[in-house]
Amino acid sequence: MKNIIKSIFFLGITICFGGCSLSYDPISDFVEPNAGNNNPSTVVKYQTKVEMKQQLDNVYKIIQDAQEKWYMDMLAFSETHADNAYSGATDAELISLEANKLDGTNKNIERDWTTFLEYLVAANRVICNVDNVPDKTLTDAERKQWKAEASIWRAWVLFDMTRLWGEVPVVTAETPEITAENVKEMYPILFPSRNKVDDVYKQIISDLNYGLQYAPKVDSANKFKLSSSVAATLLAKVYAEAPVRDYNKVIQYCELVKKDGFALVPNYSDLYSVNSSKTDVNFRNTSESIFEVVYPLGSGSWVTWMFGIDQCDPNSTYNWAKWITPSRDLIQAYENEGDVVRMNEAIVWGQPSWSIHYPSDHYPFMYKTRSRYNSIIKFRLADVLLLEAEAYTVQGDLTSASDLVDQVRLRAKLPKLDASIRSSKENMVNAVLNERRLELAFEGQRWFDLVRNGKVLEVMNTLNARDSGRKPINKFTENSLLMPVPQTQIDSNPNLTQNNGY
Amino acid sequence: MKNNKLKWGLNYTQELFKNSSFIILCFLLFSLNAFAQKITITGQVKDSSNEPIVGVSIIEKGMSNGTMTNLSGNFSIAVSTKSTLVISSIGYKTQEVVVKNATPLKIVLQENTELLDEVVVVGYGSVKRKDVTTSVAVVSTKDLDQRPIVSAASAIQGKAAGVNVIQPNGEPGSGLVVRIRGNSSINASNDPLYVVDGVPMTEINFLSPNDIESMQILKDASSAAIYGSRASNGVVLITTKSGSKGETKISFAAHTGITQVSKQMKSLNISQYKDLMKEIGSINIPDGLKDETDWFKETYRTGITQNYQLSISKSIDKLKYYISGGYTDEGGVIKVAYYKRYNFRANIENQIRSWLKVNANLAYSDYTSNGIISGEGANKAGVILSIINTPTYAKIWDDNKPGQYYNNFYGANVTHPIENMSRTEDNKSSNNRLLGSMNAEISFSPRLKFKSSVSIDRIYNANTSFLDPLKTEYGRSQYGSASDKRSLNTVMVYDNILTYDLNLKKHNLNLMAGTSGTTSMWSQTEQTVSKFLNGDIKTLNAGNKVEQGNGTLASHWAIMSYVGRMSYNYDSKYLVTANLRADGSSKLAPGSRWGYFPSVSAAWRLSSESFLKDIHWIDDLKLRGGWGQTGNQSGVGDYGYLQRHNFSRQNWWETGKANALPIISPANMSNNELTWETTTQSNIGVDLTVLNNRLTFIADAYYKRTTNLLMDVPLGPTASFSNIYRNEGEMENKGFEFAINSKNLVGNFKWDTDFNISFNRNKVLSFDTRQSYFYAQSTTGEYITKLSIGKPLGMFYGYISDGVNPETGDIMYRDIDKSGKLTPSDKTYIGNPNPDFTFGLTNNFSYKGFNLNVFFQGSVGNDIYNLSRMETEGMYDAKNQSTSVLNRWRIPGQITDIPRAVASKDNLKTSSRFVEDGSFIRLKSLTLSYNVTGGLLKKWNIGKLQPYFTAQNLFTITKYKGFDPEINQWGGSALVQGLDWGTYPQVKSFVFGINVEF
Repeated sequence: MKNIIKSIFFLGITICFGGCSLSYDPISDFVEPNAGNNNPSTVVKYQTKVEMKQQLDNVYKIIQDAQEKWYMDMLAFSETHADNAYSGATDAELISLEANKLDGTNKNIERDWTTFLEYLVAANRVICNVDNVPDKTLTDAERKQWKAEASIWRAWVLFDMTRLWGEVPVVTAETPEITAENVKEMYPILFPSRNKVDDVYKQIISDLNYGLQYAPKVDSANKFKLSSSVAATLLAKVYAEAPVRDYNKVIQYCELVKKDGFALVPNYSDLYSVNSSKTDVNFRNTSESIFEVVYPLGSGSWVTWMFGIDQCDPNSTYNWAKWITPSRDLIQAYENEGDVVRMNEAIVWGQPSWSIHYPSDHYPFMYKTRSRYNSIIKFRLADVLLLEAEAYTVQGDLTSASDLVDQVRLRAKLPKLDASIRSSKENMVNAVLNERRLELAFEGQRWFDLVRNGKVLEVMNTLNARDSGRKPINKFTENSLLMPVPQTQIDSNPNLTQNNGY
Repeated sequence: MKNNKLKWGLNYTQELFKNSSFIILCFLLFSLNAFAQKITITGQVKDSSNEPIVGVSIIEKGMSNGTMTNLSGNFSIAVSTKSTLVISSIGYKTQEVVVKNATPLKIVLQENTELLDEVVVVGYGSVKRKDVTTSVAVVSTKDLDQRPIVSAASAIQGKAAGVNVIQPNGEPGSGLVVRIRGNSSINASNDPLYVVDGVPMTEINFLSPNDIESMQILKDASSAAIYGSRASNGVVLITTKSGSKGETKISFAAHTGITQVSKQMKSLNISQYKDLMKEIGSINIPDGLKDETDWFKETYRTGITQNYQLSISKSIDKLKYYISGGYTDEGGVIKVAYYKRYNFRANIENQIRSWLKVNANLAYSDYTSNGIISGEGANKAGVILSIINTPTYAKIWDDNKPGQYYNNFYGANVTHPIENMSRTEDNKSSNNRLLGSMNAEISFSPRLKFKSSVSIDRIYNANTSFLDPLKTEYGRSQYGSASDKRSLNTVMVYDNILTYDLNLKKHNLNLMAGTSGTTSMWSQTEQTVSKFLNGDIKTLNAGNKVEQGNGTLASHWAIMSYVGRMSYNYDSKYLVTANLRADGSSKLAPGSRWGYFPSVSAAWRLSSESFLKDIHWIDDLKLRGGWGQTGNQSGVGDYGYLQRHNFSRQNWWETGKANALPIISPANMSNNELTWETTTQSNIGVDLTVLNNRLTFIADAYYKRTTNLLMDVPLGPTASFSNIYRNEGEMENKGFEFAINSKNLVGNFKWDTDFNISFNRNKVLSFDTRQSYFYAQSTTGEYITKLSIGKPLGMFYGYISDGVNPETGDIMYRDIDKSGKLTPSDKTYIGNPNPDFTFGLTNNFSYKGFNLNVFFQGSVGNDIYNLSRMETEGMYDAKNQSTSVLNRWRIPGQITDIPRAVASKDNLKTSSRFVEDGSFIRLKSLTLSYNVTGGLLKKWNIGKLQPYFTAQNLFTITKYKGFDPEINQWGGSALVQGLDWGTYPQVKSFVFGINVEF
C-alpha cells in the first residue's frame, strides 16, 4: 500500500512539475520570429521578398478599402461643403458641412484625420523596411520601385491632409520599442505635434520626386497602380497650391503627364456608363484614366449605395436618404452652358419616398459612381489639361489655356470658348474654374478648386442668394478654408493645436 | 474523527493478527459487547416550536449503531443499558441523553444559533468561523430555494457587505457584474474568481442556484491570496450540495411567473410629430397620415419564466451522493430574447478505505440565449430607441411589398422596432459546459493528509445567426446572410495539496503546501455566407457567397503555481495565518513571468480573555487585521507580450491575384517587460456577537493599491502599431463595510434583520504614457467619459449646461475659462457613476409555517449619463421623439428645460443636461411562503410542502427618468459605467413557486 501512496504522490508531482511548461508560442498568429521584430533600427522585420511584397499589397488593399474615408467623405468635403451639392441625408455631420457650421466634434472629420494618419503608417512600413530585406531575390530595382509606390501614396495622403487641415503631423519613421526606460522619450513620437505647412510640402515634394524617378511607368491595362504619371500629376497639383506655388512647374509636370500617352475618351459617358444588360461597366482603365481604384466583378464597392440606385443591382431601391444631392446651383451651371452631355452623366433623376431637398417625384442624385463595379477615378487627363489651362491663364498665355479648355469642351459636344472669354484674363480664370466644375463635378475637386483660386468667400458667401434650396450658410471667412482638428485627437494628444476659428 | 481513528485502527488489526496478545485483546473486546444487555429505546424529537424533526441522527455513543427519526420525529434503537445517545441534526445543537430505562424519550432539540462553529471554506481548506482571521463574507443560502433566481450571482446581490452586484440590463440570461471592493483594474478583468467545488473559473452561468450548498466570498488579500494569481478581485467560493444523512431525500422545486417592463414611455403622435418636423425642417411629411401603430405595445409583451429542479440525495454508510437535474426557461419582455438552461449534476463522495476518500463532481449544462440589438440608435437598428424614434403613422408590414417590413419614413433614417427585432430573431448562442472534477484524499495519519485533484472544465459554444434576405432593409442589401461560429475551450487544473494539523493542548497549528497547474486550450471556427434565395433554409449551405473572413483560430495558455499556508492559533484566542503563493503565467514576458504573492493576517479574540469572561452579554469579540498581495493577468491576451500579426485575405478571383498570399500586418506592439498587475491590500476588521448570539456585527475597513496596472494602451494614429499591452500605472480603492444580523424576535413569531452597507472610493494615481483616455462616443461624436489621474474610473466629462436660454431656445453652456466662446477648455467633470454607498436590507418574518421575506437593495450617489434621452428628446433630425419634447422652447421668453427643435447638434453636446442622479432604493424581492404541515402530508410521505409567491423589482424609488437606474450599456466595464444607451430595460416579475421534499 505504501507503494501505491508513493506512486500517487509521485504521479501528482510529475504531472505538475513536468507537465506545465510556460513557454507557449501562438498557434494562429505570426509573431516576431516569423515576421519581424520590434527594433526597426537593428533588426530585420521582413525576411523575404514575399513578406515585403505583402506590405506593398497592403497599401493597395487599403486604397481599395478606403471607399468611406478617402472617397465618400472627401466628396462631402469637396461637393457638399462647396456649391455642387446639398447634404442629402440629414445627419448632423453632413448638415454642418453644407451650412459651414463645422466644429471639432464632427465625427466624419475625426474618422478621416485618424484614418489618413494610419494610411501613412502603412506607407512607412514599406518605405522604412524595403531596404533591409535580406532576401537577394528582391532586386535593387524592385526595392526602389516599391519604395516609390509607397512614397507616392504617402505624399498623396499628406497632400490631401494639408489641404484640409493645414498643419499636420508628418511621421516618416516607424515606432521604436517602448520600454520602461524610454517611455518618456517616446512621447513626441507617440503624440506628435503638427508640422508647419512648408515642412509638410517639403516632405510631399521629396516623396513625389522619388516616386517620379523610380515608380513604374503607367500600364495602359491597369490604372490601379501608383505609377510615375501619378507622381507627375500630383506634382502638378502640388505646385499649383499657394504655399509652394510655381506655375512653370505646374505646366512642366502637366506636359510630363501628357507625354505618357493618355488620351481623352471619345465619349464622356465612357468614363461612367454601365453596359446595356446592367451586369458590369462598359470600360475600366480607359485611355484617359491616370489613377483609378478598380472594383472588378465578384468584388464591387459598397459606396454606390450612398449616392443612389446601384445600376448593376436590380433589387436596389431608394432605401434611405442619399449623400451628395446635386444642388440647384450646379444644375443651373450646366443649364447656363447648355451642357447636356456632362449633366446627364453627373446627375440622374429619381422618385424616392422623401422630399428633403426636392419634391420626391423629381429628385436628382449623384450619378458618376452609378454601380458597384464603377471604378473610383481619382485622376484623369481632363483634370490635368484644365489644371494646365489654369496655370497658363495666370501666366497670361490665354491662347494655350483656351486651347486646352476647348479640347475638353469639344469632347463634351460644346462650342469652343467665346472670343470675349479668350481675350480676358479675368474671364479666363472664371471660365477655367467653371469648366473644371462642369467636367469634374462629384470627382472630389470643387472645394479645392475654389480654395486654390481664392474664390471661396466670393462664391460661397453669395450662394444663398443664388440657390434657394441651400441651408442658410454661416459666413465663410479665411478661417473657414481649413477644417477643424478633431477634438478627440486634441484631447488625447496634448501636442496638437486647433485651427483658428474653431 | 473519533470514528475514523477507530477504523484506522481496525484496518491494522489484520496486519497485526499474528500478534497473539492482540487477538486476546480483541476477543475480550468483542465478548464484552456480546455479553452486554440490550434494551430498545423509543422516543420522539421535536424542535422548540413543538414540530417533529425528520432525519435526526441517533447514535449510541462510542458504538457504531445508530438510526434516524422518521417523518413524525419518532425513532427506535436497541442499545445497551447505561449507554449514552448522541442526538444530532444539522442546524440544531447536539444533545447527549443518558439511557436509564426503556421509557419513551421526549427530546427537544434547540436550534443552533451559534454561528461560531459554522465551518467556513477558505482556499484549499476550511476553518471554523471563530478561527477566521480575514475578511470572509458568508452568503446566506437558506432562502435560495424561495427566490426565483436564474443566476447564482443573483444570490449575492445585496447580501454581502463590500460586494456590489449589478445587473447591467434586463436581457434574459445576461451576465451580472460582481465587484468585490470596487474596480481594481482598468483593462484586466475586474470579475472575481469563482471556485466551484475547488475548480477555479471566471463565469458561473452553468450553475443552478438550487445546487448550491454554501457560498463564501473572500474579500481581502490575506484570504484571497491563496488563489494569488487570479484573486485580486476577490474570490467567490461555491460548494455544491452533497448527500445528507437520513432517508433518501427527493426534492422538487418549481416556479413559474410573468415578467413585465417596469415603465412605459410615450412617443409623439402623428400631428405632434408633424409639428416637430415643420420646426426642424429637414424633411417634409405628406398630409393625410394617421396614427397606425403603438410601437411600445407591439414591441413589449409579458414574458413567461419557468423553472423546474429535481434532486435526489442520500448518504449510506461511507457513500454520499447528490444528483440533480433541472430546466429553466426565461422568456424576454421583448419576444426574440430568451434564456434556456438544462442542468445536470452528480456529486459522489466515498470513503473507500479508512485512509482514502474519493470525491467526484460532474456537472453538465446546456444553455441557450438570444438577444436584441441594443446600444445603437434607431438608424442602426437599435430596438429600444426605435420604439420612440419610429413615427406612429408607420405600419408593421408594407402593404405594397408582401413579406417586407414597412420602411418608408419620408427621408427619416429609422427602421421600426419590429424590423429591428427581426434582425436577430434567428440568432442563437448556445453553450454546452461540462465540469468534471475528481479528487482523492489520502490520510497518512489523522494529522497528515494529501489531496490530489484533477478537473476539466470544457465549454462548447456555438453562435449562429441568420438574416432573412427579404424581410428587412439590411437583409435585402445583403441578400440575406448567415454565420456560424463555434468554439471549444478546455481548462484543466491539477492540484496537489499536503496538509498537516497539529493540536497540542491549546496550540493549534495547520500547515498547507501544494502545487496547482492550469492549462487552457481554445479553438474556434467561424464561417459567414451571404446571398440566400429566401428565408426558408437558414443553414450556411443555402447561401452562395462564402465570405473572405472564414477560418479557424486557436490559442493556449498555462499557469503554474506553488502555494503554502501556515496558520496557528492559541486556544482560538490569538490567531495568525500566513500565505505565500508563486505564480507563473505563459501570457507574460518570459523574464517577468513569475509573481510572488505573500499575505499575513492575525486576529485576537478578546472575548476569550479573562477580563471579558464576566461580561456575559458578549458572546464573541474579535479583532482582525491583514495585509497581502494578489495578482491579475486575466485581461491580457493569450500571448500578450508578443507582437502578433493579423492576416487579411486578398481577393484571389481578381485579375493577377490567382496565387496571391494573405497580407499580414502587425496587430500590436510587443512588450518584453509585461508582468503581473499586483494589488496590495490591507484590511482591519472587527467581529462582535452579543446578546446570546442574537446580534452580530461585522465591520471592515480596507485600502487597496493596484500597481503595474495592465492596460491596453492605444498609441494613436501615427504609431506603427495601434496598441500595446503595458503595465501602465497605479490605482487605489479604499472603503468601509458594515454588516448587522439581528434576531429581533425569537419564539413563535420570529423577525430577523440582515443589513449591510458598503462604501468604496476609487482613484487613479498615475499613468506612464498617455495621461488621459476617453471612452463612450455619443451621437455627436464627443466622448462621454474621461479617465485621468486623480479621478475615479468612469467620470463623465463635458460642458455644464445652465439650462435653456429663454431668448434663443438653445442650451446655455457655461464658459468656465471666460474666453467668451465655447471651447474644449470649458469642459469639466460633470458626473460620477460610482456610488457613494450601496446597501442591502433583508427582513424576514415567520409565524407558524408562514414566512415573509422583504429584501430592499439600493445605491446612493451614483450618476447616470442618459444618452438615450439624446435620441428621444434631442430633436436634431427626423426621428420621432418622446412626449417630453412637447415642452420644448417655441417662443422667445418661454421658460422650459427642453431646448428648441433644430437640425443641429449644438444642444446635444456632452453636458450635464444628460447627467441624472441614479440613486435608488428598490424592493428587490418580496416573498411570502407557507410550510404546509398536517396529517395528509405524512400519509403521503411528503416531508416538506412549501408554496411561495415572489415579486421582484416591485417598486423602485428614484429620480432617474429612464427605464431603470440599475443600468450600464457597457456591462461590466470599469471604464464606462452608468451609461443608458438604448439598453434592454430591467423587468419586474411575479412568480409562483413550490418546493416539495419526499
